[in-house]
Amino acid sequence: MPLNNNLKEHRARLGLNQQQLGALAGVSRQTISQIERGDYSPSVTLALKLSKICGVTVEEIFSFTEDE
Amino acid sequence: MDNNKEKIKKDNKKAIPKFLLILLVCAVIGGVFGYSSVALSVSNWRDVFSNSVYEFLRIITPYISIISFTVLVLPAYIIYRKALKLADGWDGEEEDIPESIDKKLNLVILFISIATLVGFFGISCIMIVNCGAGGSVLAFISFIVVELLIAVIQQKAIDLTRRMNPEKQGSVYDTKFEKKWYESCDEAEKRNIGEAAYYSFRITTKSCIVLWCVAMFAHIAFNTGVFPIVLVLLIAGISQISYMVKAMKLQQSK
Repeated sequence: MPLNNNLKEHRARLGLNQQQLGALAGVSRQTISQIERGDYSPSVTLALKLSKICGVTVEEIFSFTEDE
Repeated sequence: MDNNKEKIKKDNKKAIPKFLLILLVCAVIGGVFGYSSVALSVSNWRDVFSNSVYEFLRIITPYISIISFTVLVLPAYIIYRKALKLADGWDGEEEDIPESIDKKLNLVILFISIATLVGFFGISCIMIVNCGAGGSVLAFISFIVVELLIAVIQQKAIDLTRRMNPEKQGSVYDTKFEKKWYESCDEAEKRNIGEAAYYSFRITTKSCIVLWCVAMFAHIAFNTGVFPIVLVLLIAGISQISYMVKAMKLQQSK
């Protein structure tokens, strides 16, 4: 079930680079990069942390499309 | 529940023909190798082959570490320098540069890991073949020098990784480096490590089966003894048992 996200746009809005966002969320720059590319689906805890940092709900960052 | 049982039966029925075919092919190949091993053991070719291998090792042993340095260690250092140059010029914003640095450092670690194994093979050969006093000294000294260079390059690669990823912990000279490094990894990195480790486990299991066959045929052909067979099975056993014990522990509630 693919998980889509617009984390990059929210990060750009906040004026943060991947390293800075990673430091705020307690994860590495690579993890932020993998999430933004869609290569990694974060845990619930991490998704909540990221949404809190961005000041939006989890659903405003992450969404999924049902497999047909 | 019944649907699941039916699905399991269906999957097994679908996979069995291919499995039996693979068994048959392995039996034929094993038979050919077994017959060849016996034929080799009673023919002159056994001595010709053994002597050829011995001569080859006798000639090459003094230079194994030097070859390893040229083919593996020096390229690793060059790649490290390229990664360092990229890191020094990174402004912290460009997103492709850290990815490129990570790829280069992974290559560095891969090259020096292989070089370490080649070095240990080289030093083992000194015990096995007689390459003369000069050859043995050259092999030994070049081994020490190359291993020291490998340690330095490894330290520099790890330090650069830590510079690019400040959350990483552990000095490469620390006896608990692997534990500290793993503990400083986040969820995505641990997942990657888990996938890579499981892939390695699968490859090791399959390789041990092949190596067990090779060890058996080698004993038939060259009378190598039971020790290589025991070693291979020991490696397979350690891999399997440690994996299962850890998997069982992880399944228990904390």
